[in-house]
Amino acid sequence: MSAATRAPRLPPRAKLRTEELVGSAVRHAILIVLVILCLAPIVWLLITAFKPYGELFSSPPTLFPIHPTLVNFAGGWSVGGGRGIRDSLIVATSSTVLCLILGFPAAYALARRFSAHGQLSFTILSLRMLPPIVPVIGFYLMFQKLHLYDTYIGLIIAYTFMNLPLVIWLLAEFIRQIPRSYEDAARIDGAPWFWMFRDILLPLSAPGIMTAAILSMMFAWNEFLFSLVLTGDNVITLPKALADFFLFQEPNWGQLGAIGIVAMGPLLVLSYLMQRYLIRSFTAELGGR
Amino acid sequence: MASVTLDHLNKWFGPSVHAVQDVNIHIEDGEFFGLLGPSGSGKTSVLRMLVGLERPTEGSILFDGVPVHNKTPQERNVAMVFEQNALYPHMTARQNISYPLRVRRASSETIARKVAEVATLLNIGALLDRRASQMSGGQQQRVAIARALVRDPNLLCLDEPIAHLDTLLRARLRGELKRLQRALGTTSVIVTHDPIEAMTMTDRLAVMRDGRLQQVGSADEIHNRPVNAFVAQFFGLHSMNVFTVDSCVDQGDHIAGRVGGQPARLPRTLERFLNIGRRTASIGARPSGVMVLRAADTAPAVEGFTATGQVYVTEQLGDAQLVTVQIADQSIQTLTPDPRAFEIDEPVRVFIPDDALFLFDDKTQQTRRFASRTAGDELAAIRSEVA
Amino acid sequence: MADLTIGYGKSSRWGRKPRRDDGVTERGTLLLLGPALLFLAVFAIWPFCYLIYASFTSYQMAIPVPIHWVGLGNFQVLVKTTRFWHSLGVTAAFALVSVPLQLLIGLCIALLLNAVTRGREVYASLLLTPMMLAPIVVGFAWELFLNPIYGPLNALLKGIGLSPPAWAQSPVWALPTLVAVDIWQWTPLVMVILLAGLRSIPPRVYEAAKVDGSSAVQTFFNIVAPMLLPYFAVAFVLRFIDSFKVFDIIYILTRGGPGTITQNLAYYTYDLGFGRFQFGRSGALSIIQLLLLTIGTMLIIKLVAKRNVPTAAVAGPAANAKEGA
Repeated sequence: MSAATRAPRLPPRAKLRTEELVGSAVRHAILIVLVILCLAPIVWLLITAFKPYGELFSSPPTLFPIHPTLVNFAGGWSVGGGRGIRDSLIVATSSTVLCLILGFPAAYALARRFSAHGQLSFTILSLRMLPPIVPVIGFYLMFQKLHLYDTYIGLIIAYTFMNLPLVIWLLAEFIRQIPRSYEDAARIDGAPWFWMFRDILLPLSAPGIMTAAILSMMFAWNEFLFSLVLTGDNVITLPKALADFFLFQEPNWGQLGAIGIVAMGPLLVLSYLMQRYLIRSFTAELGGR
Repeated sequence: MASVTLDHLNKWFGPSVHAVQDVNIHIEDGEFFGLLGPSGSGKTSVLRMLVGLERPTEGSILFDGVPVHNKTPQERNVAMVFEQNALYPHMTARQNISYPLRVRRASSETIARKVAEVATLLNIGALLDRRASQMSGGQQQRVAIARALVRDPNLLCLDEPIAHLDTLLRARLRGELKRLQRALGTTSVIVTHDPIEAMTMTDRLAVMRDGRLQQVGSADEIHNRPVNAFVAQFFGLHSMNVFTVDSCVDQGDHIAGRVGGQPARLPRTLERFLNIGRRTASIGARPSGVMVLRAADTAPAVEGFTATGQVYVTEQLGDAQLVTVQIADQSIQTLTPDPRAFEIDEPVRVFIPDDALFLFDDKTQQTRRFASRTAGDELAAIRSEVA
Repeated sequence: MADLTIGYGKSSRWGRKPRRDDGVTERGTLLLLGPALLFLAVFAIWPFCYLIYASFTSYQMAIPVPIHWVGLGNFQVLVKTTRFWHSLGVTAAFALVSVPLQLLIGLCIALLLNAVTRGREVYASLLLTPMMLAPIVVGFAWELFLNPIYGPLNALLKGIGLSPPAWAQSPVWALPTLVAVDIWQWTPLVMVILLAGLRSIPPRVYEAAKVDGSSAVQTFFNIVAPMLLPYFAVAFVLRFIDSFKVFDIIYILTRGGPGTITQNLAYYTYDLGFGRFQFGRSGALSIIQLLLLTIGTMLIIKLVAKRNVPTAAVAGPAANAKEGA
């Protein structure tokens, strides 16, 4: 009786064959190994950040800190991490805002008004293909002339130049997905262009703007060569602070790890949260290249 | 509310696309007017010029005799309901409906009063705080209509407003829209590719094709007296059969001809419409006017067109059946209340009474002779659907 | 009426495609587009002029001698040095060894992920971590990880009885180490592109193949591979272009050393310009890179896909990414 009632509840294919089970287990095992490979150096850095100085150079190393400490975070902050985070925030935020201000109208024009947008956006994106070492020499010579060397404005300009093509392209792709009927409806409703922009276009493009902003922020936050070449002692972005600290002082791994974690942590969390959007725009981005 | 005149309206997109070609229409104050045509016929371009989303390349648009084609949509005080994405997705129904008033800087009391009025009119009071994504397609369109009406427009334009809804809902909204328009008396223009929508809702309509106006008139006029084969085929519940008869020879009491090689018999009455020089004729008949006969059946004792062929397929429509008969390379659809089952490939005769026959010029496709039988059962049947 | 016709005729020169004029003039378009284009033009053309100028002169910042025109002299000197050819080889190692390996490994992981239903998103998220990190942080995370004395890897390898090398400090292992780090950081990008491609193949395609009795291998080569090709091409072009940009991890892990063994073209350019202030040579070298990159990219596009991959790919992955991701 009980067997008879239970049997129909199982769908015919619910019982996995042994080889399918094994195959699935093998796949998961391989993936777990890959995840470990991907995370190992980062996790090691994280662990190191909590090790007291004496434990840093023990050989063989300790897997987990015997006396975990937070002292490295304070130390890392004062040896340049704080400065680096501040300068990186200034430069990355400003250049992102500038990118959006310049990029949104241009993207709108490309998406809606310009019939030759294909060639133009290709031209814009090919600027992005340049290896940074090529423009950086020109930028250096130009900034020396204009007294922009080692200034926030100079680096902001350089990062805007680097990210603007991508921002325009991403936003144009996004705006193209927004049906025109919303704008038509707003015009018939009698909205002046600024109302249309503020009430309709901006709210509808918000996810695209967010994605573009995060990517632009991330690229500026991670960028190294421009800040290495175009700035000296006045502006020290985080990657430059880290490199200087790493190369020109005795490497205090605990402090390096602490700065690294503080610098990368928020970005990583954000990228995990925004995964869907980011994957979409990473794949969209390369379409244009 | 206003009367609307389109005077020699032309629209070019770039140098090579002549989307609207010399369209002249006068729409009376309070009239419900339809623009009907297949996609690409230019009907939507006409509508977009009417509301002011596009500028005419040539010609003028007059509201109550005053040119408006250089004015903005707001100055014209027009409203439009779009096919899809009609509502701003990030606003609630209430915000959507009040947006035109907010743009006009109406006071908050006025806004509240007008929104309440229009919400009652359309019976959407319960939806006011929902967003588009929380409403069904029909509810969205109803809110979109409310947004259109809230400003008391001179002209209400509807761009395929119910085309993407499901069949039942479409039928219901057709009736609602018609009643609403009658009650408000707002001059309205609906664009549609669906002849049923056009004939059931509108007072008068215009059929367009390839940017040109084909015919303007009431549904009855267009149904009974289509100016050419295109209108005849496009307008109606079922497409009109139009086929070619060639090698026509006068046999005294009738005309003998061939349909794709098969012998056919035509009534003598067609003689004076035939272009005997070319000895071919373009014959038309609505499916409801065509009869299918088996070998044993006797034809009605009236003059008419006869030819033999085979049943290609039959489709049961409940109270009638649609039988497609293949005569050589031509096929003729018949809508018959005949309850008998026809077999595929069964040999049959097709009979079209003289009073159901249309004749078209086989070169220009202009109608040369109208069927004398007027608005048949077909149209009456469609009408009853709306009531 | 006539003036309207003329007005429209003027604007139609922007394109022959039917377009909607919605009351905003072409001047409005230029107003919207203008600031961004002006910015890009100024900061592309001005520095580029400096670069061209420098590459044809004896521009050296540190030495106060008059600058004079040397024509192609900088280029001639460069191609005669072994350092140039060596750094070209290092760049080639990234472009022609690292990138194909990334494509191969990325493809395998993408196929693996596509075959897994449970936890795909979680795996994908975690596997993407490396590419989100600043290359500088990646550099010193690996430096620490590979440290011969207090790094965990060598401790582990010694623990199982091996005698591992000093990785980044070893003349033999330095370049392979850098290539490995490059693969580690950027394979995820290849993976995510190809995964998007795989996800964009509708299930009915696989089902149809199954019904037709095609084996897994046949399905891959006859059905999946052709549909994946545009994504593969895009990943290839993208990673090829990026392989010329490798700089940060070299700067941190080896500083081009030991000696000059791990200097690629980008690092050599940097060293010439900002280590020795020979802007003439450095400029010439960056122009050489630009030419190589352009030629290489065009070759790949011809090789991997139909004529204009980037434009064709715009429609492909961008449109499919929605469903894919």
